Amino acid sequence: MILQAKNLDLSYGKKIVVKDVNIEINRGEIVTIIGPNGSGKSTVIKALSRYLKPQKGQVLLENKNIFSLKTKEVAQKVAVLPQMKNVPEDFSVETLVGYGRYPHLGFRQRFSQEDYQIIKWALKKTDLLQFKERQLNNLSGGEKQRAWIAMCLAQKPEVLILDEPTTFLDISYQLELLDLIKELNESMGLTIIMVLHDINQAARYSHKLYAIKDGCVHSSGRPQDLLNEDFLKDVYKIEADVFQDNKHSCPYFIPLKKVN
Amino acid sequence: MIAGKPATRRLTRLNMNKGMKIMNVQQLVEKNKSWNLSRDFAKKLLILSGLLAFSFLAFLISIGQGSLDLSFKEVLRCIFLEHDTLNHRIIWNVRLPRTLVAGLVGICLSLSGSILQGVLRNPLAAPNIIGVSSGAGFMAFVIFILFPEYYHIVPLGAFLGAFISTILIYVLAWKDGAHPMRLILAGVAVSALLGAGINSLMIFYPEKISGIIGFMVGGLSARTWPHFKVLLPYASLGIGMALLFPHKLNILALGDEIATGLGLNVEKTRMMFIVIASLLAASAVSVVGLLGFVGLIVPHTARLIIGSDYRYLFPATAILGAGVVMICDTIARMIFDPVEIPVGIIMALLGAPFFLYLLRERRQG
Ligand SMILES: Nc1ncnc2c1ncn2[C@@H]1O[C@H](COP(=O)(O)OP(=O)(O)O)[C@@H](O)[C@H]1O
Ligand SMILES: [Mg+2]
Repeated sequence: MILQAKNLDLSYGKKIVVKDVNIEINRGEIVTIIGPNGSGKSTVIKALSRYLKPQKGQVLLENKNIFSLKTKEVAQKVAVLPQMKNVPEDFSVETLVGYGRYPHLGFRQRFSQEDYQIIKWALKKTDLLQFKERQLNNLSGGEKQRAWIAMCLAQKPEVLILDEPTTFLDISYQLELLDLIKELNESMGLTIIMVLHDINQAARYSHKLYAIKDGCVHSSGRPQDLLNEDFLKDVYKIEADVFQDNKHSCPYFIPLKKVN
Repeated sequence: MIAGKPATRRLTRLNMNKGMKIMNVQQLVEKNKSWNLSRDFAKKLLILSGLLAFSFLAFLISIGQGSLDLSFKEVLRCIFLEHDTLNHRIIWNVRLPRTLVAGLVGICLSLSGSILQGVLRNPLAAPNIIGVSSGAGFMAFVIFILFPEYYHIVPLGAFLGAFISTILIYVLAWKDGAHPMRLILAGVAVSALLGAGINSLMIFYPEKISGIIGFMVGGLSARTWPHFKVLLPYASLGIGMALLFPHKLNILALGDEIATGLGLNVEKTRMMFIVIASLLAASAVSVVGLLGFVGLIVPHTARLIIGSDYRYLFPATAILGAGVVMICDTIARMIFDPVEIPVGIIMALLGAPFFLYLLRERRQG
């Protein structure tokens, strides 16, 4: 197990929004967190990435309490692309991706030859080599998102955490991004934890799903075990027909109507 | 197609197949791109050199102009070659220290503003948002009115007032971390409170106002070597930090979550920068009074000119800040000669319209 959340309670100020959450992530898995809006997915992600300190419970990275590690030590192993981020409009793609090397730099903060190699590799992986000198504000939404992912890749992490990486992208970019994520997982054994809104995409691209509802883990498991009519009714309050996609050997569903 | 001598071209055509053609085009593109990169870098270097030239010119003008007019050549000769002429003494004892103080004050205040605009992610942040002006002003007033026999410690009091109110604001804004928005709100609140304090003192002691007005507006008259020595360590601190840590501010600009994800200790970094910003501004204010406007306008202008990458923004801000205060002080000395007007007034009169002009240009472009 590479990352584990044990009995997490998370809160903003006094308001507890996540209660007693347990999550286990094995090395090399793609794990997707799904659930309705406001159910606490991003909050859980923030705790897993050491941004939000839990009220109770622990997050363990390779069996060590993540808050007993230094920010930098964690950053050498875990890269995170949050939902909320600032885009300094006039940074070039290369500058942004270069900051992925930050956790590995010494006090003098100079790039070595190896750092340059890694930055180039990250740009290549995300197909951004020809954009590297472009300013971020001259990129399309999909390209911009790829630039952020390239920054995470330049961190050379073992775990990549992504909060709704496909939101605001049109469908072709969504697929492109998910295929990239899958490819990274398969070729490098990168462990992926992400939040997705599209349940069908989650089912198709993940080894394991965690469904969060009202700040608690509702259920978890392999997509084919989890995704069924009752599950959708329970978590999302919708009636749906669930089918088997034999080509990708995963379930998919067609929503019918909202139920109360 | 690649260009070249006819013979080479023929050879290429002979050997040409699809793969080769693609490779050649790629090489061409590659070449073009590296040229682009160096063009961006060159552009920024050019801007920096331009700013440096402006500041150096401001320095020479500031020293040369006055009741005794000297040419640039004479100025340089007086500083470096002559030793016991009258000109040398005037320049060495009066003008040079005053000009240098102006330059350092410019550096301190504008670097302070630049840091705060980055740390608080707000283009309108300036030293007064972390209570520097109100804190310094309040303490100066209290000393001046209640302990007039200690008038000479006003600079020290102003310095402490500025720094303590920053700490107070920081503590008030803290709640699982010092969020930029809470810092700004706490800053506004504390400043309003101290401002009310200043106003009540003015009402109860109206006869003392004229004595303190110079401090409130900010001016450089009769500033000389001891003032320079007060400022120098802080300005050096600011410049050193600007050289060492531009990456930290760049990363902070990506947002707290990203910055944490990249291994930056956000709260520690933010606190360090706020303390540095406060020290920079407090040292300047303690020497020249409440010269607030520089810390807002110079960093913002520098950002409009050179972009928001702190690797270039820091040097640009420092150089521009030094030049602007030196030139404004020269104008303040000259315009109604022999009467001097406080440099703060000139700064606002010239700075505000220029600033508005820049903003309008930007929006159209
Ligand atoms: N910074 C915050 N401060 C206070 N409450 C928040 C904050 N962020 C999220 N919340 C609240 O926490 C709950 C869970 O939010 P979130 O984790 O963002 O949900 P999701 O990502 O599943 O849509 C929501 O009720 C939201 O209003
Ligand atoms: Mg969310």
